[in-house]
This record gives sequence, C-alpha cells and structure tokens, in this order.
Amino acid sequence: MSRLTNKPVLDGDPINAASLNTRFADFNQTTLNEFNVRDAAIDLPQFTTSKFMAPQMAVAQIGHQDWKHAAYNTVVGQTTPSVPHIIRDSGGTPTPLATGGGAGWTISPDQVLRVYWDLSVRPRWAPGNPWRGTDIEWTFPHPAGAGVATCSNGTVCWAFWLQVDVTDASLSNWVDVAGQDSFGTVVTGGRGGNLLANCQATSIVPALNQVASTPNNGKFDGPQTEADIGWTSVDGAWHWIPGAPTTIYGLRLVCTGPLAAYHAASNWLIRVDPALAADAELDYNGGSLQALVMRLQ
Amino acid sequence: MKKWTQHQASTGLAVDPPLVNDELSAQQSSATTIDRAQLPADWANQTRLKDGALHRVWAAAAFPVGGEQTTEVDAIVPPMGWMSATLQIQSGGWTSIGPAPITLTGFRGGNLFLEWSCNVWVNNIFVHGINDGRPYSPNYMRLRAVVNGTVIGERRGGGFHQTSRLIANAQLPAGDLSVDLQYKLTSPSEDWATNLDFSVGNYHAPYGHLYANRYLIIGRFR
Repeated sequence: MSRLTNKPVLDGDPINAASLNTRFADFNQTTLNEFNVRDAAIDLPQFTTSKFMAPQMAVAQIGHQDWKHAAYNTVVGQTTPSVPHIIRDSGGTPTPLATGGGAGWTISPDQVLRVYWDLSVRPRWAPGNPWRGTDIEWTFPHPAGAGVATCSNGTVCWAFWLQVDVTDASLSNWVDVAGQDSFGTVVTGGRGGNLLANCQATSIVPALNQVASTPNNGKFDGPQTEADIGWTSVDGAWHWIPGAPTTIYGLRLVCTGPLAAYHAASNWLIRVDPALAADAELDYNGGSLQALVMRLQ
Repeated sequence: MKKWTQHQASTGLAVDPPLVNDELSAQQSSATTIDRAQLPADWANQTRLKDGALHRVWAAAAFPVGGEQTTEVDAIVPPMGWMSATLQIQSGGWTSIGPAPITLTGFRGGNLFLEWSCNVWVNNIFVHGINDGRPYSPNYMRLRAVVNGTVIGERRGGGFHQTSRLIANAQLPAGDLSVDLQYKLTSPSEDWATNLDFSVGNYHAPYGHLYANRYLIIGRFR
C-alpha cells in the first residue's frame, strides 16, 4: 500500500473545486518510491526461490540408529575428559554433519548459525551404589540427634557439546565451538573441569536420581534406594553470530562424564569425578543434528 | 490488475466526507501502486531488500554475562556444589535470571518467536518429606518468558540436573520490547533442611541453579 500524506475530508470542510482537485492530485501523484513499492508492499510469496531468510540448511542422522534400543553404543566413564567420546554409528564411525558438500558454509557477521540436535541416551551404573562416599554427597543432620546422613546432591551428570571444523572439508581438525571448553582444564588435584561460563554449548543428562528417605523437619536417616534414569533423551540448541566471515565445514556431537558440581575461589565449575568413572556408563542410540544459516535481518 | 471497489457518486446521494474519502482511497490503491503480477519473481531479493523489512534476529550465546543466573547467589555453600539459590536468599517468587531484561529495539510489529535454552539443577533430596502436603512430588525449575509485562510462555522445567528449553511466541504490536527470562523453584515444605550438618561446616543447602542460559529471538514483521 502507499503511504497516506494528507488528512481525510472532514465534516465542515468547504466543498469547492480547488480543494478536491488538490486531494485528488495528492493521491494520484504518490511517488513510486522504495517505501511505497518495496518496503511496505512485499510479503513472503515473493521469495519463492531466493532463499532469502535461510540461505543454508542441512541435517544428518547421528549415533546408532535403533529406536527400539535392541542394540546401542556404550560409553564408559572417563577419567581424563580432554579426549571426549565422539558420537558414532553402529559400526563405530563418527557421524558428523558435513556442511556445503565439501565447500563449507561461509557465515558472515550479519548471519546467525542455528544448530539443533537430539540423541536417545541411558545413563546407568554398575550395581551397588558406586557413588557412595564420593564427592557428590552432602551431609545432613540425623533424626536420632547424633550422627549424620548423606545423600547424593544430584549434580552428577553426563555432558554433551558441539565441535566444529573450520579448517577444511577433510573433517579432521575439530575444535570446541565458541564459548565451550572440553572439561580438560585442571581444576583441582589433577582433575579436569569447566567453568560454568565455558559451558555455552553444553547439554546435561542426569546420571543419578537419589532422594532422602522420609525426611522429617530437615533430618533423615539415609538415602532412599535410587531410581534409574532409564532411556531418555538429550537435546541442545546453539546459536552463533561470527565476528568475522568464517567458513565451517562440519559439526559433530561429543560427550564426557561423569561430572559433578564444584566451586572454589568464586569460580563455579563442573568437574570430572574419576572416583565414579569405573562404574558409570552411558548407552546411546540415534538422533539427528540440524543446522541452518539465517540472516539477522 | 486491481479493480475499482468504490462506485462513483450518483444523483441523490447525501454529501458526506466518507463518500469522497472512500473514492480517494480506492483510487490510491488502484492507480498509484503496482500489482504484484507485474513484478518479476525475484524482484525483492537479498541485495535489493532493506534490512529489517521482513524479520530481525536477536541472539546471545550467553545471557546474562557468562550465562549463569546472577540474581540469587549464596556464597555460603559446600564446595561440592554451586553458589546458587538457597532457602536463606531465595525470593520464593518468579525471579529474573539477570540484572536487566533484554531490550529488543526496532520491533516493527508481527510475530515474536523466542527460544531460551539452559541447564538447570534442582535439589530433590527432600521431596519425600513426611510432613509435606504433597509427598513424592518432585521439585522443578519452572521457566517463563515475560514480554512487556505479559507472560508469553511458561514451562514446568527440569526436575534434576538437566537441559531445559522454553519456546514461546506471540503476536505483538510495533515498538521496542522488553523481554524478561524468569525462573521459579518449587516452594519448600517444612521437611527441607536449610543447612547441611554442622559437622561438615556451616553451609547453607543449595536448592537450584541455572547456567548456560542463551536465547534466540526472531521478529517476523510480515
């Protein structure tokens, strides 16, 4: 539509030829400028082939595809997370998302990369409460008046995050995406971990669900038998606007665990728990990884 | 081509302003604009269209700074936990995750789509309290998005240490928008401990935290 520039005829306006002619001339001579013809007169049907909003899209199946969980991959607990587990198919081959058919996608600062993924997972433990007496328990008052009771604080988990290849289409030069570290920074006692601020592409799966047995006014006598997490899903969303034009050739999903909460010197962390690693396992099946490049405006 | 939609004034009609206004408006839309059928298919492409004509994206990889909720941070907590919301400092109501809301400048009216991703942790140790009016009900880190004071999306949120995502959308008029991302913990029962046992230190019991907060917001104007 065109922009109105004159007020309408109102009650009490004089009726004469000059004023009416002026109004007709105003309407007829509306300029065919960019506002009237372009900015204020377009909608989506006119973008049938231009890929204007989202010039690039891609999707890949990741992991071991078997939705009935008849067979699955298993990750054992890691004590040194600097080499995380790469999500693989049933034959053990990593399942990255290659972008641009070898040419990659060059993303400019006026674009955003949107990445979404999901995966079917099952955290589990060897029998016998392997986490007891470790760094993931908190101690509370016992109702008998003496002694204490402990229970898992519920922070123990597996972490998933994205890696990207910005080198070439060989997909052999993977690095963590911006804002994300690989839980390999030594936090304390040789144990690796991340500041929570460096977990910007991290998605968490709980590894343990344990509660206190019938607490009464803030006291309890011990933990209740834990409930298995069972098969569940984990998903993630990550958005990135580059500071300079950057070509990405692929994206992949990796994971590590078990991890748990820790803080020291005003740093909030999530760190590796090697005492739990031998008994912690994570099964996973399939999922998908999608990416699209979208104009910011 | 467009067609006339208003009739010419004829004898006997009363003279009133809408009569002439309608005719002028009809003429304007018919005679001074180009019908879309006259335009080439790709006439409004990436190089010709003005920024913001169709949509606009606001995104942050970490919000607030570092991606952690910074509103309720109790430092008197055990080392094997995060400085986070405790019963000593928790407000009890809906709480913003950061010190200031997100301001969306240049929203031109239309659909607002919002994605808020985060990791949450909730203390569920005391959910089987024998004096609790709702025993065995897990605690949740509820999430909601508020735009210019109106809730546009709410979610129960995570009940363990896990990833959560809130997706919401709303039709909104033109104008700058203020987006507030808020959380709310399940209210405590009398069976929740406020402190850990004093034998391990004078620590407050943490009850909830959010980190890796990030958002993607898209305004679709036509």
